[in-house]
Amino acid sequence: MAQITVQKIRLLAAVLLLCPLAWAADEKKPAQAPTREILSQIEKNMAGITTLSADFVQEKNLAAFQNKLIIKGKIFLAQPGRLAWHVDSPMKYSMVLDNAKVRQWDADSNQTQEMSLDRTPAVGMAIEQMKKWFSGAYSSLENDYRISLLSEKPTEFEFIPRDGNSAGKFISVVKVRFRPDCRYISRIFIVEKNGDTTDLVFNEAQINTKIPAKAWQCGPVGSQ
Amino acid sequence: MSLFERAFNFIGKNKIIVFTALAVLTGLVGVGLSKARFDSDVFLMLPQDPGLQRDIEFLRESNFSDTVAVSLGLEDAGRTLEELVSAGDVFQGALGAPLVTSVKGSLPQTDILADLAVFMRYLPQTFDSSDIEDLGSKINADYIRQRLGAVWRQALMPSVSLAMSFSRIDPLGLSARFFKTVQRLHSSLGYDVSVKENHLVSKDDRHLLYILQTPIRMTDVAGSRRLLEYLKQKTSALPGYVKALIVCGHNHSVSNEDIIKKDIFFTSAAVSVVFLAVFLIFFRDWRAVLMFFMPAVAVVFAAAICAVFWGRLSYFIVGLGAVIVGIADDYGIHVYSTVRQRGPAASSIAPLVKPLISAALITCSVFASFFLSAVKGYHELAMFAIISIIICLVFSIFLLPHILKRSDAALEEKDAPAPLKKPKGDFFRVLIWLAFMAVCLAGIKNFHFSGDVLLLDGSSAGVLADEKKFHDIWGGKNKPALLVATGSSEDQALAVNARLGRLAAASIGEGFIGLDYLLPSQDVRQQNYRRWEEFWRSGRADQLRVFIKNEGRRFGFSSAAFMQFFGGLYSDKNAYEQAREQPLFKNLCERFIYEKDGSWQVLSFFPDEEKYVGRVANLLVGVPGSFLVSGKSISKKISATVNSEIARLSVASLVFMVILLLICFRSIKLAVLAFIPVASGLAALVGLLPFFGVSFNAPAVIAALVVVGLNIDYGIFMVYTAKAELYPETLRATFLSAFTTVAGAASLLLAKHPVLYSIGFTLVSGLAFGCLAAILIVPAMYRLWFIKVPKIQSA
Repeated sequence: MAQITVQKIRLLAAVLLLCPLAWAADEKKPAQAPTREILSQIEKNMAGITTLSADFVQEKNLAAFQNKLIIKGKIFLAQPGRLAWHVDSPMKYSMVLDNAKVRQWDADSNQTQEMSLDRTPAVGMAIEQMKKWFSGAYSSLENDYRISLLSEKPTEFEFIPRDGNSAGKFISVVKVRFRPDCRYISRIFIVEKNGDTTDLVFNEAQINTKIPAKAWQCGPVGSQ
Repeated sequence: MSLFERAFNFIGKNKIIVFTALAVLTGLVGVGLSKARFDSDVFLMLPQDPGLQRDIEFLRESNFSDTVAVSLGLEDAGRTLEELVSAGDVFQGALGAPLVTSVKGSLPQTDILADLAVFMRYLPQTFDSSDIEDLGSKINADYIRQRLGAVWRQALMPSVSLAMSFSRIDPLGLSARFFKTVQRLHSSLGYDVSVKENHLVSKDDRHLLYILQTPIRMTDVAGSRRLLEYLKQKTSALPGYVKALIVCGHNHSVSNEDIIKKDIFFTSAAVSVVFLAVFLIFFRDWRAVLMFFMPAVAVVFAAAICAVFWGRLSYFIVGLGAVIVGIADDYGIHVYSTVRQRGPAASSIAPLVKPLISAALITCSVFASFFLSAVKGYHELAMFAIISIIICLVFSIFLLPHILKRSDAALEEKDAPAPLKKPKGDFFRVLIWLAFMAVCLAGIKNFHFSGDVLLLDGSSAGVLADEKKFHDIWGGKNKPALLVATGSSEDQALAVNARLGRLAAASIGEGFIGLDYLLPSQDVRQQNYRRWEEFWRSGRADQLRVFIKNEGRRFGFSSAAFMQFFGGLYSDKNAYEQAREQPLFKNLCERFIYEKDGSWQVLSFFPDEEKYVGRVANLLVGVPGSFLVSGKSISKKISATVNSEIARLSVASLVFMVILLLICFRSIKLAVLAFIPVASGLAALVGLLPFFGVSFNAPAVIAALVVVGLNIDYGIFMVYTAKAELYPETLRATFLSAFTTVAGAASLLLAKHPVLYSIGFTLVSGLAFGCLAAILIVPAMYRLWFIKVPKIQSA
């Protein structure tokens, strides 16, 4: 009991000492000039993207699971606001997002479910987050995140939520790496407050090519 | 020498003193009146039925009437939601006391997972016996496998583990009903809102919604004006690509008052110009302007007396000032015509006194019948009109003759009373009139009363257009009906609400939204928790632990995956208080629970449809204090109250009229003749209002009664004239007084406010046809009926 109290006092002292530093660090300073220039360039490149299709590998390290979860599949994006996520392994699963409606299918149940993001806030917030990273509109995130350039080649940014940003309640840091031609993302790495991590890598990305209609189907056809 | 002659001559001898005193007094009253408190509350013109009054007061005093909705929209297609949010945050930050007490637009920065944990601890207190029964059926291997499979699949989504973290706290989805209810309560006012960037965002992601609380009541027009000015100033600081729409009851109050003020100015100006022109052209004497100024001064005096008596003046009553001037100038016209022909002696005026007083008494008696009405505005109008008429009558009889003099052109042969000559075509005249009456009365099937309060709203097109745009973006046009459960304490109100809510939900179904499930009374909460605890302690918790462990293994869940759920299974004592402190819950309670003068009210919502309103009304039988408020039933209540009002007032005025007519004429036949203009005016109303699409609403009812009162006046004068008991110039004076009354009423046709316009239309159509009937039909009918009765002809 006494040990817990001492720990609490130490923790409180550390928090009090760090508070001014944290406050100073969180002032809404704009990104450094080179960072901003590169961000703008990437934003311009990504603004020209109307469709994208890519293979992906998503590695999730979640406290809820005994082992790392490796998810492989194909992603399709079409502006504005369409996203299809077809998983091949560890099981067949599809998720198609069309504006605020989400349809899900999995081979196990072989049933398609439809849900509204407004009515499932946790799923809604999570998907909104991903849409943000896929969109490329990073300059507008300056108010919500402290943005730093981690490396120029390959170009990689780090986004840390500012105080007051609701994402900061569950996200610690997001790192986004770009392809050598900076036309799209090659990797997104997210560290959550609870220690869970998500590492999403895109391969064989094709930009502005025609996406087959079946990609938007949520079910066994779409996932082929 | 009669009393009248003595008083008349006394004023004549002291006229300089009397007129000087009157001028000074008028000036003082005018100054005092400019400082009087005016209001433009349209509900003054609606019946004071206790139920109706309570519904209206409830809507006014609940937060609904004191909120302001501000919608910020992107005007530039190239701008993003993030930019709009930034501008919105600056706008929200700039708002503050004393005019804005709180702003809801961005949601509090809460930790969604921590909130869920708090709600999960409170959840057992909301679980009733059927929930527990349902839960019991879920503690089996199959269901747990199915649930864990769903949780596992969340990991396959392209996102962070937030959804999964949610499921780890609530693997059985026990909070689903709780959050569904919260969601439905949040959307209970019908706005189509989604939450993005932590803000209330429209479906098209182009607009933000802010709900502002203000201490300014919408009935406080001066305060409303200050509030709107303040908001305009704040929205003008927004970037050029953001446009603001401000929607609130305050807009209506200010707009209505502005329109009424303009209407009063224009109608008064129009009446002044027309009256002065008519009097000057008709009489070619500068003194004729006195016939206008005298009733105008009488109206000013009456307004001042009413302001002192009622503590304020309604713009709607003052707006009828032009009509009252048009009515009250009749006495001056008759006196003027007589004096111009016969001179200002008391003996010339004396024959006029009886018909003038009779006419004024009858008009006053019609207005007096308004005191029997349940509409407070009618009482004020009655007082205003009666005082104006009496003052003007006194001025006309005792003061006016002393300023006038006999016209040089007065003809000696008109000194003697003479019966009307018999023109040809009386029979055809009456035939045409009967045909007109038949046509008008045929339209009775289309004539009905409109109780729609919205039709009394005279807000400008700009205000209504902004509201339409707002509803196009956010929905919420169809407001739900409200069930209001009351109690002397919050807990008692919650208990009543829970009881009514359960019954209403069973009767209405999904459409019913209330706090009954989220917030039962303390007793029920304790009972629920005991049941929950017994359930889990009876071995179910261990059973579930085993199922989760076994079934979770196949999906690869770690042994600690659902530890948080089991850790929070038995809630602490403060779970309820902690849940009430959560911003989400706090916000709901602020919106749905009110305390007023020690009485608590809990609100629930349901679709405002007749069948549901009827069912909920039945549930309220035997539940004292609780009530329902429905926009549609308010209209119906107004219709029902006004209909009974019309019947009561009609009977009262009819009785007054019959008595006075019999006293005046002592002949049923003559009384029937005098009634012809009344019948004609009413027939015109029945025929013309539906034909021109003008609604017969509560204010139009009083106009109809004024039509009755004035038309009976014309009937009496014309019967006197026909009997040749009055000088022939009386006929000319009756023409002129009828013309000025119709002109006064016609000035209201220039009004933009629907209340004044509908009063104007009712008066003009009723009076115009009443006057025509008085002038054309009464003498004709008199000749057809009485020509062979020498006794009456020579009277």
